[in-house]
Amino acid sequence: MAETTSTAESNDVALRASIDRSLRHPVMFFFTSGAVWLALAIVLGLVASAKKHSPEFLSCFSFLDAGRVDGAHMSALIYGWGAQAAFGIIIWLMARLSRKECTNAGTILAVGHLWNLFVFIGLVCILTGNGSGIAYMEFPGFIWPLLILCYLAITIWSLVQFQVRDAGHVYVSQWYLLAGLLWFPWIAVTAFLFVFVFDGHPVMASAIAAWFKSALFLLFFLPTALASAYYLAPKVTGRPVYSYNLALFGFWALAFLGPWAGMQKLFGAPIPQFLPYAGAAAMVLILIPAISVGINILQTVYGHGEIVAESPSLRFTSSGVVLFVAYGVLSFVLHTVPAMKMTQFSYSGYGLDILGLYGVFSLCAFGAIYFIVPRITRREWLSRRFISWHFFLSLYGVASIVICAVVGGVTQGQGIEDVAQPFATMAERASQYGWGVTLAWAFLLFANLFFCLHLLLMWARLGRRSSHPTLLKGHHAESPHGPEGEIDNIGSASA
Amino acid sequence: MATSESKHDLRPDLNETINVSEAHAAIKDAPPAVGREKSLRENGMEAVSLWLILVSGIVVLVGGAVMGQGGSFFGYNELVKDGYVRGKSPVKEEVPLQPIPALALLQKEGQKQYAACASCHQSSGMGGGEFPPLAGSEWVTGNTEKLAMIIHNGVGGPIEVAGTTYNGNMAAIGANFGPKELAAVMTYIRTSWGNNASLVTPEMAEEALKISKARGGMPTTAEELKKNHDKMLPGDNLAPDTLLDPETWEPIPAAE
Repeated sequence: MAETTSTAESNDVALRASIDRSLRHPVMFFFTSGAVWLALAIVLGLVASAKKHSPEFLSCFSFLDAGRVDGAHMSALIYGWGAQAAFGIIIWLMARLSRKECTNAGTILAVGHLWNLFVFIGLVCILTGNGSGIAYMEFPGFIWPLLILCYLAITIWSLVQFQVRDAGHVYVSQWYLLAGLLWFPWIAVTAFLFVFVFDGHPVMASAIAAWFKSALFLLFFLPTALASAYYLAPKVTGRPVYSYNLALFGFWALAFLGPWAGMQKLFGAPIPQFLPYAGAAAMVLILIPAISVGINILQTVYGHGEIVAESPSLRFTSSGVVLFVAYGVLSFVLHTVPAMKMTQFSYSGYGLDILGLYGVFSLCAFGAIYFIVPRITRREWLSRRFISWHFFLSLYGVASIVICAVVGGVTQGQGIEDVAQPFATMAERASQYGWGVTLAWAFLLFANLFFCLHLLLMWARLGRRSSHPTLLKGHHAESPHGPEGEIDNIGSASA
Repeated sequence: MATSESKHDLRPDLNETINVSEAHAAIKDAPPAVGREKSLRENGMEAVSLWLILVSGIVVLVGGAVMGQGGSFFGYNELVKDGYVRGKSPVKEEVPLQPIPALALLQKEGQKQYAACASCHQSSGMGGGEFPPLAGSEWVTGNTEKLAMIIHNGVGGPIEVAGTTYNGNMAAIGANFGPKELAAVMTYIRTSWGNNASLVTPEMAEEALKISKARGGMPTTAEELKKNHDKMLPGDNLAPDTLLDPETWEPIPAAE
């Protein structure tokens, strides 16, 4: 009996290893190029944020106009970093959970290069003033069909793997992965058609663009992040997910609410008036899936504080989940009607967006990357200091951005409502918080320089050859990365 | 595999309990990171806790309250919320409104009131047909008391204006005017369309209302006006450029 178990286990390990091997090139490509885009996006974010309080900053470069650099910043963040990190997570996680090797790694890798090319062309268009000027869809119209085709060519294989998997129950992460995989083409194609192709009313087109902006996070990035969290929390702690029922509840709550949100951005615009209110209500109700997922994952790791503190993957993932609860609470507060009136035209919406994209999605993605990369490269992370700097600077950075943007946004909103005050007073008050946001982007820049460098070293196969993981134990280790353990001298994964 | 680290594991070459070929085989089959992974277990079946349901209920209430303000659901024809206008400034009292010169203030208010007169006397003040002009009329630019009586009580019978005799009936258009409105409309017609007569203050208009009340409210005639009312209303004259508070119409000291 014991013999069988151990054979099954070693078969299991061999299967996992072969799945990792089959995917190592595309996954590593998505992660490293994503990390480079992220560093670039943060530099652009720094400039864009500085422009908001010091318009003269770098004004000698016309390609760094406030309008252009802001669009380039968000586009690089979303399509350069976010989408590629999500691709890496999706294809790896779906292969692992469906227990199928990837047989199309070459195609995925090639199309991944195309994706990067189109993102690059799109960014050049934005910076030369040829962007579309629509938030989150700043790339010019012709880029979108190309990106959507690339998306299909990258992710279709994950759907195939799911389809041909050996029978068995579908794990929670797979619900989220599948949902995200199918929602993305729906929202992207809808938004592309209504914004760039159909000759509809322009106000409605901007309402659709606002819906896309919200759906892209709630229906693509968030499900991917939650799939990773639902995978890593039980995987690293070795405990089962706390409650299956709660997972179901949280998933369907998000699936039901997500598509309604978005049009609250157009409060008071001449679109059918129930649409903004339905959007605001959905954003209020997002607190429900946030609490459900939060409780479920945090209960799974509850009592394993030591593992959460030591494992880079779990530390980033748990923080991402905590910030998802914070996102729910903030969304709840900001989308009640009195708060909407106050903050509709202020910084605070930006704070919520960054909390979602960086605080929730990116932290979960970092967690996944810290887990996946040692497996596909067969090398351990080099330095636990790099990881913990990345962690703390990220956390402080994102917290500062969100606090400055939300508090500053409320101040700004009050200033706009106060008819007795001239507009300049309001702008002056908000500019203090603008400085705070710029400073926070600088924190994130440092965080991600460490991350990017670390990942590139791993990509160059300079990681440690050891059987011992790089854990974030704070003190008195024998070497910079903890005890050595056994040395893996078998050769690199590229062999 | 690497779950428990005892000290001798750190020096594999000196430790005879480790079978080197076995250890290597293990590593070859199972790359370290993959090998130490724990398997996913079946999901836990904890019940959804009561307080989560309660909190969700509260959130749903708030969300419903937000949605309830959006009017009818799927009402694609309702583009604007009922009564969706800019709210009155809550800080109005604290805002010191800019003082306005007396002439401009009275003319502005007077022009509003003149809308009632313009249907006969025209917005150009030229009258026309059976209606006498106000521009250049001695009745308008002359003594203020008779003008006030005409506006407040109306006038009937023949009346000669600018060399032409008119025979009509003017209703008591200003019967409901208070002193401010009366003063404003009188000032407006006395200072517009080339007329250049003195301003009428609310104090003067108040006197006029008293005189009018004493008369009893019958329409006047040209004869009666000439006989009893051909004089200026009592009260201090107001220079056209005196600064007035736009709310109270009280003069404001020039320098502060």
